[in-house]
Amino acid sequence: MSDDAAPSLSTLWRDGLWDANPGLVTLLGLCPLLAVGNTTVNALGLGLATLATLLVTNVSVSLLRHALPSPVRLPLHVLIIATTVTLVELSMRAWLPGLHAALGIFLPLIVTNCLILGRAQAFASRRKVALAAVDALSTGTGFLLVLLALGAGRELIGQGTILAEATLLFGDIAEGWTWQLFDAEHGLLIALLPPGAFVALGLLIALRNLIEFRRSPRIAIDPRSESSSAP
Amino acid sequence: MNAAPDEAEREGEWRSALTLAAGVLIAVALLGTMRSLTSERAARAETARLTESLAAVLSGVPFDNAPATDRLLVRDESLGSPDPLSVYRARLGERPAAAVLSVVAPQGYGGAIEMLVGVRADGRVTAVRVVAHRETPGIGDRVERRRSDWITRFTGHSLDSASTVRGTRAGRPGKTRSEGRDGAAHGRHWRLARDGGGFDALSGATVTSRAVLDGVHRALLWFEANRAAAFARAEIRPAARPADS
Repeated sequence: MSDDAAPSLSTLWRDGLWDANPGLVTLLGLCPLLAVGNTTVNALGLGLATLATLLVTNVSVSLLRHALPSPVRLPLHVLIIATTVTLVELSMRAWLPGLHAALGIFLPLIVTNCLILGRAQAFASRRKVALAAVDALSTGTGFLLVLLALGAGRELIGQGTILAEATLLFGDIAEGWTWQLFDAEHGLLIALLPPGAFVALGLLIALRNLIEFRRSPRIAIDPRSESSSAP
Repeated sequence: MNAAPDEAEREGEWRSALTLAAGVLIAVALLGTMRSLTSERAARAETARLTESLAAVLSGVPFDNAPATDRLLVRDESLGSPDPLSVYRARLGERPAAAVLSVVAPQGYGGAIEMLVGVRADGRVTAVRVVAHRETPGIGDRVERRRSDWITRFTGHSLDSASTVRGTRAGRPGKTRSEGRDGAAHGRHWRLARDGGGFDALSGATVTSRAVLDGVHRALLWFEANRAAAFARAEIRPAARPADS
């Protein structure tokens, strides 16, 4: 594996956070994104777990990029990812049992998040360790931010709070962190249910596209010129 | 001519196989180490969670043992699950104070609802808490104590004294146990008000309420039939249920 032309750090960060954001553009790892993104705390917990997994797998895949023979590279990458996720899960069960229970099956399911295998295969397996680490941080942060926006938005609309049950993640110091905008009874129930996840993600993607559209005038279409050309 | 590439190929296969084997060994070693490092802490965290929920169910009951470890496994389909369920015993100076039954209500709106039902030695409910469920957020999930106080309405009721707590709906207060059980009153009381019983349903969550109520009722019936055995030190075989309850 030759290390071909390395992308600059700023490109990596811009890709992970905006240009190729996993949640909004490449649409990888949507299953946990939609299923767990119903409260801020769940979103933050799963986002951080994914970020940690991504960092460890990207770094180890990059470290081992010259050692793995190509016929067994894919199974070994999967093995590395599965091991890392299990390590993360074991430590979460010991130190954050409440959050472990809240995330349930979606914690071990990080294994199947194609975002992680995708970064390992497409990026980390042919880049230097430092670049792979930065790529993991930028992609993971991009995913975390989308998850967080989704979780906070759905929690606020659905039950009128932000950071409900913060003690699951932060322990007893987070006792008074929950911010209540309105009473839970007046929430829009659908925001908490699975359909709300799709609607919310669709709105987020639309918002990103709108910003992108405004930023690049060369693809902007003048509605007047279009209507005048068509009879 | 052919020997050289063959050999290289075979060498490559060996290298692949060995790398794969080494990878698996390293993974197993890592996971084993991590597991032994965290297992004690994880078990302690689990016990702490259990102790906390038991304390919530047993609030108001004096006891001096550790119910989380004074556990009995009971296999009885009337508790809602074909698997063995736990009964935790609270004692005060070796005398039975209350039992906490794990009960499953299979007929919830979103599947099985797992609950803890605390029952005093005299058959009155100490408290009920839902520990796991998949009910609709905002509607059925109000069976959780932190979302509404609906679940507290079972506290103080028993199979036949329910009427004394709630008024005269199912009979007059002050009956003895046998009188209460003779009449059909107590059986009717353990239904939702809309089914002719004595408990109001959560609005919009009739199915959920009915499942929870039924679970509590079944817990009380089991306790009534197995009262002595429930506090026995050794494992028990549950007695046959009464013909009709």
